[in-house]
Amino acid sequence: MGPDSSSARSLGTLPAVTGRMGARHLAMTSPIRQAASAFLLILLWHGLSRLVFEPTILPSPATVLGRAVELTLAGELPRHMATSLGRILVGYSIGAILGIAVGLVISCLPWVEELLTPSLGFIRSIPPIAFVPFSIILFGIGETSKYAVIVYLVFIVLALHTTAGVHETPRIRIRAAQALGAGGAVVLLKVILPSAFPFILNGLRVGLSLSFMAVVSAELIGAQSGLGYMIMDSQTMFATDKMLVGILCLGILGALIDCSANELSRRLLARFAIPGG
Amino acid sequence: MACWHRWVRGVGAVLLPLAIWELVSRTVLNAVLIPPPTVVSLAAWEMLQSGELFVHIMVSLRRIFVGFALGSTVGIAIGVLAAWNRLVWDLVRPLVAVCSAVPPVALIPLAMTWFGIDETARLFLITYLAAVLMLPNAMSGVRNIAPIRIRAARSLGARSKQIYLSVMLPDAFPFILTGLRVTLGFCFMVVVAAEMIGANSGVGYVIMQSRHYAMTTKMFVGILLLGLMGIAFDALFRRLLATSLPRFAVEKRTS
Repeated sequence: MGPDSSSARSLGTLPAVTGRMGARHLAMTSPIRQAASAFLLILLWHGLSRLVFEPTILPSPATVLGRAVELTLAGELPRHMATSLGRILVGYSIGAILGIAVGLVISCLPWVEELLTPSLGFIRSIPPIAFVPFSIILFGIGETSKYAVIVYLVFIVLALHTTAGVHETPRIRIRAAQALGAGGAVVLLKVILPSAFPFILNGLRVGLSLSFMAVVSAELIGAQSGLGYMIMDSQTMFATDKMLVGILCLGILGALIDCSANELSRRLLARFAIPGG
Repeated sequence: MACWHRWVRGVGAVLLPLAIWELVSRTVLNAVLIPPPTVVSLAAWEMLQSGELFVHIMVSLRRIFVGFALGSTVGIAIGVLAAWNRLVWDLVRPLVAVCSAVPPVALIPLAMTWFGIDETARLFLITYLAAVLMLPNAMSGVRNIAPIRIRAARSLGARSKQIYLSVMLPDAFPFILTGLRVTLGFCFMVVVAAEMIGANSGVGYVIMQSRHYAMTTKMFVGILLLGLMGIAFDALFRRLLATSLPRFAVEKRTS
């Protein structure tokens, strides 16, 4: 899993067709046909749930929707959602700040970087869920263990992306700034940081979608609240409709977070007039 | 000389963090919670000798590769079809959009409801994931094929089979290979999650089981093993990419 594994999260929004067959394929996304096929999909789901499967295996879309309304009105769904989002927010912010700071410091000390990069890469290739049991042993079953998993994950991603970004700074820009009399701090803030910005932004995006995944993993294994817990809890109670509500909620949240992160980073890149990273 | 220098630094980058870990865990931290690397490697050696570790590794690898092979075949097939036929794409697009937005880990409980906790649940999950991830990659690979080259080949008298094999495949190949690499990484991640939540074998199970008995040493063996496996997969694919891409780049230059 390299840093480019982000592409997998944003599958829904396929990259703009720039290929050589572009013109022909642009015409193919007709909204009406897609709406029709989405409708067909729901119809198929309905048919399967009515005719083939039992409701404990596949409840009908109407049942799931009804359950979603019921859970929302009872306040259970909003509570779990808020819990999950709160965990992401706290863990992600701490991890991002630490990661960028450490990444900047490391890349200024070449020998430290050379020592640490292989270890960071190694840790990065371990699936984050594997740390959940360890985090629970270390920090207990409370909130801290969930924060810790997210912080650790986002930290590593951002440290790696930041150091990569700093290295992409054109040497000539640094030398030019130095020749014009800029000191270390000015070079860091006005030359290196803007040059590394697209990389850091990309890291922030990757980290966000990974922290979404990490929070679900942590909640599946050891939690008393959150959307992941809700899904796991419904599994033990055979409440498949509730489980599907949780899964679809995660899907909607994930798509929303992904879309807004993409849009935000696009605007930021355009605003700072930096050629895309 | 320069080569020698790099070698020393490389070894240092591996040994020094290990030494720091050893020192810190023996002095500052609780060695029961964070066991030093020497203790961990001893435990790993014991588990290797008893054959326990090997069994779990093979179980995990089999799950990954069977699901990965099945799922990416399905994904590539549908992706190629979708790239050529608008109707297929319009039909699968909403499904792909929904599936790719849901974190795959969240589907583990659903797979357990559908298939119980036997092997089918894990295989279904990995197959599903590989298919969903490979479909768009295969599609953009096929979209990347230059129509002019197909026409050129045809006017030079190439038959369909030749066009498929020597024009279209090389053009789409880099996309598909890159997609496979990302997909394998995700399959790896999800198989571990699935083994942790509902399984009685595999590397993920080793980690989860050690949590119940609070055997952090064994847990560390599992975690580090996952890191090694992840790096090995990635190195394998990078090797594949490095050896196969230049070959196709040569093809590209002729276009």
